[in-house]
Amino acid sequence: MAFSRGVRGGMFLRSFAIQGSWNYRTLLGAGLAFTLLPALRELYRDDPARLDDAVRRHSGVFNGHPYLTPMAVGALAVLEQEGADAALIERFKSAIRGSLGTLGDRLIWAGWRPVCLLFSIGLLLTGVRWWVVATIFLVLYNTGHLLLRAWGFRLGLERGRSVAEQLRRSTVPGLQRMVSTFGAFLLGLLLPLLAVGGIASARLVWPWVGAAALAAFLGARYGESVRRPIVFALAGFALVGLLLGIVI
Amino acid sequence: MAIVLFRVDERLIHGQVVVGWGTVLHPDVFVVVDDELAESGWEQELYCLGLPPQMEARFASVTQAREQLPGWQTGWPRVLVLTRNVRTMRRLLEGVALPGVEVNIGGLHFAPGRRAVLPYVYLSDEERDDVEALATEGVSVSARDLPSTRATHLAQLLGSE
Amino acid sequence: MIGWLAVALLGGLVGLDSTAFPQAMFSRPLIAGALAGLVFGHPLDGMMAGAALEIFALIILPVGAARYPEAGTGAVAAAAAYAQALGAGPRPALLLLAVVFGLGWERIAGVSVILLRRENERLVARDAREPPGAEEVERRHLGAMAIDLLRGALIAGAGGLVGAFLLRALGPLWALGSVTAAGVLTVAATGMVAAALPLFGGFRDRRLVFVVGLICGSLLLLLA
Repeated sequence: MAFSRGVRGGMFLRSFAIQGSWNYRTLLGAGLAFTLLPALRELYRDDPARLDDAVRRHSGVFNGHPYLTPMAVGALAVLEQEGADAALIERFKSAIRGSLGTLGDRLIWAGWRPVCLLFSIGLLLTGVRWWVVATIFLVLYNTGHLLLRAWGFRLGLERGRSVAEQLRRSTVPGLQRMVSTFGAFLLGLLLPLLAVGGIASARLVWPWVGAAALAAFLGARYGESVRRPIVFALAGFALVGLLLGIVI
Repeated sequence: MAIVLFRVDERLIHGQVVVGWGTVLHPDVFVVVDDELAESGWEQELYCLGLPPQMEARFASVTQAREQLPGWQTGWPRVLVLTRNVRTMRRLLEGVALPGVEVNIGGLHFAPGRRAVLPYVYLSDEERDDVEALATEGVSVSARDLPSTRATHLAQLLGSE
Repeated sequence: MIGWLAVALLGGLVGLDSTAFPQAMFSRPLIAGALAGLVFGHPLDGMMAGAALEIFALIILPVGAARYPEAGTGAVAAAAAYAQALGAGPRPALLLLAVVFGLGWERIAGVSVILLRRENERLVARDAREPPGAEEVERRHLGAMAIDLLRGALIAGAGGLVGAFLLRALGPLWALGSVTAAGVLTVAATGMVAAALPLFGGFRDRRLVFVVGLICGSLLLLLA
């Protein structure tokens, strides 16, 4: 017996709020129980005690990339339906939570999201109107976002505990490589547009462009460790500009 | 020695280990030592999902791992050994640990019966005993979630309670 | 007054979107900045301030329990302040000041996220041995989201007011001229974008596509 349309839809919609009560002890814990509730309510309709048991079972530590959690939710609903025992469910949860996090971090947080953002910033700097930029970003980004959620949810419901096999054979790992290659290209493309003053709507002369090129070299070389020095330097400059104004 | 790290982390193969430690230590192989996992194909598949393509994971029971340990220590692939709890690490290293071997603990989260030692390390009483047993073997046990954070010497921390 | 209420509402939704619901990424500084600017009739300026803050936020990944600034609500505050204070000084100088303010305020916002997550721990994970039943879990989970909405509104609303006050007071004092302000911001932004290269594998792995991108970008600039 498969879950009804209403139950599946309910879980899918709730999965958007799975991080709603993020906390340092159980991470997504309560959110996972919240997302699974439509299925649990259906399965344990006549047995409130078992329902509460199931909710407790799923309120424990859980984590994972939010866009990939529907896959775990689908698989867990199937495991509950099959009457799998609590120990097996716990093992499934701890096996999948790290992997979904790592996979999603690389695919989305370090891939799809910055790529869409760099692309949109590029559009802005080449003079595309603000609302067109905003629309393109939101539509482009969320098309990927929603497809990933829907695909994962269906995979979880179809495959249950063996989702991983299917996922490994899917195009997702190759996709990640493609997205990040495109990201490196876009980043290169954007740097000249920025270096001439795009972000401040200005056309700068070469000493500034040279300094920007040097900053780009340092950024590419040292990565995220340049953030703090750059932030402090920027704040320092602002302070100097203001203090001079007060003194003069 | 080609074992780059012994790590106790209940999440086993996941971001902190793959990205955090992986990019600093450059392991070629993650060896997960766990009796249950060594026999469970679908669970192994799940754990391997987060692995970048150039890295490999192997799963071994404690007995298998104890046999292969000398080979890992002298062989060429860089091995990162993972267990999901302190007990398994103790069973792995008891009697065979080279003095001065370091065991890294990170990512033991809250569970009933466990108390907080550090924000990312919760230990039960039995686990505290295991840490002390490892320490008396000459193993240096420290807690450190990422290479970029400071290591906390665990035996001292527990002893001072 | 209506304007600032709209900013607070936007901040609440942006705060919610950042982590809790639905993560559609209108909480990114680029978009949130444009919307905040729109409240005071300057959406393009808002988006520019947002884009500058976005560049600083690109490399911040929400991984694990690490502490990180909340760029979305910070950008709402900074972009609203910038749009509201436009005219109080040379535009590039105000933009620079708004960005610096945003970078500071997003840290305050980040602290509020940590406090909320501790509060959530009390709310939904207080006693893992005997957690509440179905209805109670549902109620508390939704409650946590309501608190998050309120948090975002307060942080962004208060930040916008403080920021606008500061920009109006300090903007006229700027003594280094427009070109210097634009130049400094440009150098910082270029360095920060380049610092995102490790996200995509780093220079050593990706130098070929990266350099091809650089060349294409330079050509684009020459043609334009």
